[in-house]
Amino acid sequence: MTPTVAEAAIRDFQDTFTAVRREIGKVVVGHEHAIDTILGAFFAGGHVLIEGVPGIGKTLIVRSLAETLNLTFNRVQFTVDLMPADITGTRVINEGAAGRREFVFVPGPVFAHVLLADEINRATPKTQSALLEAMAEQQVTVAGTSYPLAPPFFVLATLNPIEMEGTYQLPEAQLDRFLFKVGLDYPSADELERILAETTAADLPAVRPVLARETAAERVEVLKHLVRQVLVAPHMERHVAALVRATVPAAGQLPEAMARYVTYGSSPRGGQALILGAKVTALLAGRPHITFEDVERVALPALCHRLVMSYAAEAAGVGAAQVVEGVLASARRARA
Amino acid sequence: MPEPTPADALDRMRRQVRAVRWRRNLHELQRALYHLIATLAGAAATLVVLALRTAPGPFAAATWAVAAATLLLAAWLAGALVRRWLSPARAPLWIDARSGLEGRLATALELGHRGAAGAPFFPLLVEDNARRLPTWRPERLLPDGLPSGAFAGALAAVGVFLLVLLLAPWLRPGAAPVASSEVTGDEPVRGHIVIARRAGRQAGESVLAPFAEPDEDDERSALSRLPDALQERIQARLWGEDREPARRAMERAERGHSPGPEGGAPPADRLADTSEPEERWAVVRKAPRGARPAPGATAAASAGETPTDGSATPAADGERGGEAGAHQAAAGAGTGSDPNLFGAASAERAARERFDLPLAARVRAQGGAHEAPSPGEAPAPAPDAHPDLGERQRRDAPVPRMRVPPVYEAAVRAVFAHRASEEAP
Repeated sequence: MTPTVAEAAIRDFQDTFTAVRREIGKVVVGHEHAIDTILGAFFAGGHVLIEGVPGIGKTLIVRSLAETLNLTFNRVQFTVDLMPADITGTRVINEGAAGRREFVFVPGPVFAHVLLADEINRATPKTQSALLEAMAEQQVTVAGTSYPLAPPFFVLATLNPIEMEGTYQLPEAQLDRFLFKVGLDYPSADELERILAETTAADLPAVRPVLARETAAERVEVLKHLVRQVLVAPHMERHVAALVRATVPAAGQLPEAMARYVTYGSSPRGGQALILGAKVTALLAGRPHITFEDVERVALPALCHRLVMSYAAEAAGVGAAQVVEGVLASARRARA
Repeated sequence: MPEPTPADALDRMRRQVRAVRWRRNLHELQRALYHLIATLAGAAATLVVLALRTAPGPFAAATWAVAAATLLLAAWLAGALVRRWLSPARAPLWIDARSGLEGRLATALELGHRGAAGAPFFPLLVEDNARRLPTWRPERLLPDGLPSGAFAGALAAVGVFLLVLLLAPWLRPGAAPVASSEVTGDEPVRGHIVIARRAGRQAGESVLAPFAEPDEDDERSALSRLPDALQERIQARLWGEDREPARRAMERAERGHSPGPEGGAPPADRLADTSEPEERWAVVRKAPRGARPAPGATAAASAGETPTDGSATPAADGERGGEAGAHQAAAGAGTGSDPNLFGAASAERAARERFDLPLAARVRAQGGAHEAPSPGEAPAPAPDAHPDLGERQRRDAPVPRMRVPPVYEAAVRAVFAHRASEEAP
């Protein structure tokens, strides 16, 4: 790839990203950082877990994303009686024209480019694991037969932090499969006024597709491939590895004050998430390589949900974000 | 003209990185050197001022403090130099951070080493770097060839040091002359205690002399004698022969004494005051009129020892000439008195120890002794009829004893000796 072509490719990525961002911004008021993070995870090829109270626009963000990119979208409301087959699909007996009966696979809602798994913690672990297999393997297995999912496949699951009764907390192993975890806060007063004005008017805002339906999936895959081509210098790999290692208490690099709050640190997937997220950030900045700042920008959504905090942390009110911030600050000092 | 390849551009970048690295490291080396010079000059100036203005005790403490501070500062400077030293691996990162290249240079060079030339974005990165080469030229990145701040600091510190050397003659404390005389063959005046100073270290001796030949009486280690030697050396170099009065004045100042209005303390006071191990004081008493001093008696007296030439028994000496030796009755104590009037002699004690001198006996200071009355004259009143107690001392609560260094024992015994021949009528 010549420098000119590379520059054009980077510019195309920036333009597409900006266009999608702008279209989503038409219907979603506020949450700019969360939307950027979700879009970053989408182009990095990961999945996102959103935590937020009901009614703050989680579903709207995901639907707008799918509509803007002109990709297929499905939504599954997870409940305690939801079965794995309700997500993956099932085999039904179908009678053919000749009167012969045979099992036919009926795809479930997971067969879409963008899937919203709403309140994923309300389903049983068995159902959750059905979705998580699809997220990790990009395929589902029904009755011993694997069915690949058409790329791009993007899952956006939501967690409701209230009404925890009758919920099944996602195990750490399953949380680890989400590239980023994003928290959605309440809108500010100004944002709330804009939400009220825009959603109660006669003409509701609507998004306009940025990509053509026929080529949307292919274009998205090209852009995702471009993200993978961003250069990572050895010193950046060392830096990311050191950051991930620093979150592990057993490694002995966490300060004593912080180490007692962390039971388990980040897995290597955390490092992958840091680098992939940093690559998207670098492309958005027009750079063909990642920097320390790119990594720092995605560190909180990439690492926080991978840390298992101790009871001491809960008692002291120390969150994973504080630990990650501490690790970043130490790394910054070491660099200076 | 062929278009430059990424390899050419990488070579240019590497060369420029090397140049920047050299310039930066040279700069840091100079800075460390100037800081070191400033530190040493400051320490030297401080030591010189302290040597000229303080007594040996405080000077020793200050010397070690200054030496420790200088060592710590030098270690810190070395550590800072190591931290700031640009290694080949660190240099691109440093240039990136300094020039706002956002990691372009380090990424390109590291990936170039790794052989990532085939990566799709690599040519773009190299081209981007080649475009930015002028932004981090060595002269632009490090415009100052000389670390001017550090250089000025070093210059100022050296200037202060030279100034201190120039002002040294004016830094001498105002010292009143102390009556003393070197031990010579001259006869001291009868009836007076003559302070004889043992030959100490001469001005020309090496600073390392205390390591070579420690004083027999001095139990301190060679290291602990070093500050004294250093101070003497500094004073000798800057004041020459005029240093002794100033030195004694500083010693008195250290003990909180000020020179008397007539310029010196009484001899007995001086005896008590002199704690400098290199300056031993002893009492040389004049032999009775007409008698020749025994050979070596002066030297023995100067060392604070009893003559051992065997010319006369100590008891006989005590009877005839008023001399009293160790473990013998003091002169004038009479034959019936306690021969161990002042307690056991303590010649074997350490030089810096003290022994208790009972003062129950009536005091008769030798310095205040009156000459024997000439024939036909009335004798002077007995000087020790009323002991010369301190102004605030109450007669009903006299100081029963005082602590005296053993080296002064002979002198003290002589001062407090009772001699029948000189008793007041």
